[in-house]
Amino acid sequence: MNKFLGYVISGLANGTIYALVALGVVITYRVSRVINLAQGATGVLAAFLFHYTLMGKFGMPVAIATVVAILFGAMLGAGVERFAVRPVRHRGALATLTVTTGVLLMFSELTVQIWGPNNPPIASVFSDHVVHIGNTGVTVHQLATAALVLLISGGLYLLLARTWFGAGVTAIAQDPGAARIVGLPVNGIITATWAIGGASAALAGLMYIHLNSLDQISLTFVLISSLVAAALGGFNSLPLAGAGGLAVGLIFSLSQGYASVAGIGELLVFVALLVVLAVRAGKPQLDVVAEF
Amino acid sequence: MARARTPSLMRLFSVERVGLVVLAAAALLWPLFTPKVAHFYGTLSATYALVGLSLVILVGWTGQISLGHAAFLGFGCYIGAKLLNHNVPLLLAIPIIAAAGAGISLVLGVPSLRLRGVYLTITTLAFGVACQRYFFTRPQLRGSNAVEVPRKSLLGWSTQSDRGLYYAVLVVLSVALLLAWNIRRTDTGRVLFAIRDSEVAAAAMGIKIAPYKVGVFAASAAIAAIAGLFYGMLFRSTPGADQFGVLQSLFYLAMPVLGGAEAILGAVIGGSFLATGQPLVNLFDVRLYLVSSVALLLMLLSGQDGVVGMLHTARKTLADAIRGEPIRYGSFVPETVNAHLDRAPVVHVQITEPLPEGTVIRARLVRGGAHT
Repeated sequence: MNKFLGYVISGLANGTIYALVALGVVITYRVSRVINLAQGATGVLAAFLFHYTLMGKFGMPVAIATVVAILFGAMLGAGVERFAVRPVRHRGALATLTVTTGVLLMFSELTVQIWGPNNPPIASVFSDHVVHIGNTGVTVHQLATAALVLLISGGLYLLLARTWFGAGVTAIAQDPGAARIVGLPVNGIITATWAIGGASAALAGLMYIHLNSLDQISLTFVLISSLVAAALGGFNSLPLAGAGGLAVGLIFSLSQGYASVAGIGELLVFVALLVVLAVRAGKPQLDVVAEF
Repeated sequence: MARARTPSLMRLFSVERVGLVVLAAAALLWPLFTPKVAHFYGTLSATYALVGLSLVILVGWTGQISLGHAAFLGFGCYIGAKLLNHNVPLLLAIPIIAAAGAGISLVLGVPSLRLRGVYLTITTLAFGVACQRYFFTRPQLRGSNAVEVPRKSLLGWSTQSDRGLYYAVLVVLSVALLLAWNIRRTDTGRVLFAIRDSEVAAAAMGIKIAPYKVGVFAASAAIAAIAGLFYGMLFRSTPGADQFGVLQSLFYLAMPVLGGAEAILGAVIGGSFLATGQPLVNLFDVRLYLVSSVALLLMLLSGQDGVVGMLHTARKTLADAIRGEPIRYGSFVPETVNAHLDRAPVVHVQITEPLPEGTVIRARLVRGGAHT
């Protein structure tokens, strides 16, 4: 039982991070109809900058370095939208998807080119002090990650449901042409959502690297986990994407824990995606993904 | 007279035709005059060209992206090593591996291609990760250590030397290119382009979309698997799982983008670029994948369809300079201009490419080339 609880907790801790990346993917997809494959790589770039350059080279305090890294992530997100995605948007979904693929490869390779292929243990704002809940130990970092993700999800919900900005996002998601006609700054809102996506990716990167070592391969795993999570909700639903992230985290942690076969988690996530797609294919499609 | 000759000359020296003849001659002759180390990269180029072709037909013909194509190479390589070590002749191993690749692709293609949009991309990505971490690490598939891949002869043609293998791959590549080129010109090819340009319009014309997309994906996977077989033969042993990982798939995607996804020739050009890139980037101590990703982004931002697309644009510019009539986005059919010059001409404009925002359409009526 203890073992089981341990797997569940570590699965949920990683799952909240997948959920955070997935939320970023969904929110950028809703306004721009572009699936940002570079989301995970943005987070890694920000996390490595945080560890090596901000903390290592400049010796910043952890809290300030965290803030700077998140701002850097937001800049990266906005920059990708402004200088890579927007110029090719009129050429359709194939072009934008290829562009984000290229950005993914570039960010991931830049990380290795600049900082080398080793995976450092990265410091966290929170301590690794173990708190006991019942019989199982949880680190403060894990708890704080879960709490932060909940907080951010709540904040995003309020931002989208209660503010002028959120109304703009909904308007653009429904009809970008009409949104432009009523005078919304469509391009500005799109860039801002990409900045939010980049910032959440950076935060996720910082949290993830502290829990797991991160090389290029596990980066692709973070990416695929969050994409699968987002695909669960048809790239449209924030709650479903969040739930998907937690589910992927749980599947991965439990299968890895009990089966102890290398790569079984990756296999199960792939199978789960196939099942979800097979179920979805039977239903009428409401969202038009490719034709925007 | 001048008017009649210029277009036919243009047709005779069309980019594809001239390029094809020059390329074919060069591909046959260059290994005779070069040192051995070049033969290795030549064979790698031809193998990458096969990968490029598999992606060109997928990306260029159906508008879908695969981020797990390296996994198909992996299956081709590992299954191929087993077959060749069991003394299956190479000529028989090629169709078996192609069938295996196509069969595996159905597992992915059938669920994800029935849905419109990006689901194939995500499924292939998940497939790539699952292969890299699970399937390719099973001892039953690869073995715990690298296995020797014997270089069997193709129809009596020895592939022991890199030069011999090069010609063998070249034959397979030529057959694949010819097949692809023929399919493009048939009704099947036209249906595929209709689907790529607008699924809704194609469906309205009564075309069943999913079988075509699944079929092209299967053909693409089959070609990639064959490329994997030759990849293994080139290195004489089975590489580790990380050689067929997701990063490689991303890297391979640069081939159709850099070479050009519209034309089949783009596969050959893109493949040669990436294969010969490694010794070049070593001089500057940067990572090949980084360079290729930057090149990919620049190519996409330039709006050109790869090198082949650039050649097309250059030819168009040249033709415009000669004929002095730039028609950018569509064709003008002046019905009544020549017949009744006293009436206002009726011009039908058909816009074939999506226009960027704020485009101004200017029409200037120029009399036909023959100034009577």
